[in-house]
Amino acid sequence: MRKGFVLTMDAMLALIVATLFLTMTLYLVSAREHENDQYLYILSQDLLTVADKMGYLSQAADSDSTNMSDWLDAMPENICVNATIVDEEENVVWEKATCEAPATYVLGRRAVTSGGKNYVSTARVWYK
Amino acid sequence: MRAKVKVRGLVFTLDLIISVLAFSLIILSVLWLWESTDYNMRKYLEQSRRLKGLEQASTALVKTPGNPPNWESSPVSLSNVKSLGLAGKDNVLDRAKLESLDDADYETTRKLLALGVQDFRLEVTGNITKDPYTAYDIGQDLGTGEEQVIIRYAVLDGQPAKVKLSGYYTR
Repeated sequence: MRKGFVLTMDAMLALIVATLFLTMTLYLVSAREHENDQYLYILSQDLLTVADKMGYLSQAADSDSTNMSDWLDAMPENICVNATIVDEEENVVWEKATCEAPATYVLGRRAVTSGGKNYVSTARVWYK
Repeated sequence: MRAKVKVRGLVFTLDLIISVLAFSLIILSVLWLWESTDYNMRKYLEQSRRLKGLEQASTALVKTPGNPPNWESSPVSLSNVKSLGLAGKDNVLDRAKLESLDDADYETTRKLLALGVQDFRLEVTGNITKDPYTAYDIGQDLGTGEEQVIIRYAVLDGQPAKVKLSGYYTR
């Protein structure tokens, strides 16, 4: 009785090529999930810029976060935001998240000064 | 001396027919998949291009004063205005510019926003955190075609405002 070799060199090469092709296809398909990260970045910058100009960031740094909290609640329903204000010693002086933390997000930053102290505000933004 | 015997093989065996059918099926499937992917890719690129145009137009509106910066002081026309902007400062809207844009001709505004073949609608909502109101509703919502929306935020009259720019593609 003669037995054939199933895994010949040809078959192995074909398997490698097919695996490479499948991996590349999956990579390209998954890459489309991040198609509009640019808009999230724009949104994070708008959010922090308006909050700064309205004085909400400095208020939140001085322990009055009502306006900042209302401002985050005014964001579109399909958008989640996690905003923080950190002082010079890297202590978080204020934080609010509108959703659970995601695996990926877009980060915007803005420096703010209040009461002679410097702070860094960040807005992590992602789609719900 | 042995006589030569011609042996002819059967070309169209059942195996061959089945393999040709299977191969044709695979080729047709690949062609169909290729066409479908090509169509989706072109559609996606076109959508991305239009969305990018909306993003750029919205950025020009909320972050720049336009060109010339005092374009609102004369009637809006293609010869007077090079680009539209509504900001007195970064993300702070100027009422006078908004009033001027509200009075401008739709087609002229559409061309100045550089939205290509898209129609547009610009809605500005004032005081969005406390008592939202529609401050301006410029352009036209055709109610048909593919809609893309960009929402930006700015300050109007010392209150946070929402600037919603919608693009409508009907071609």
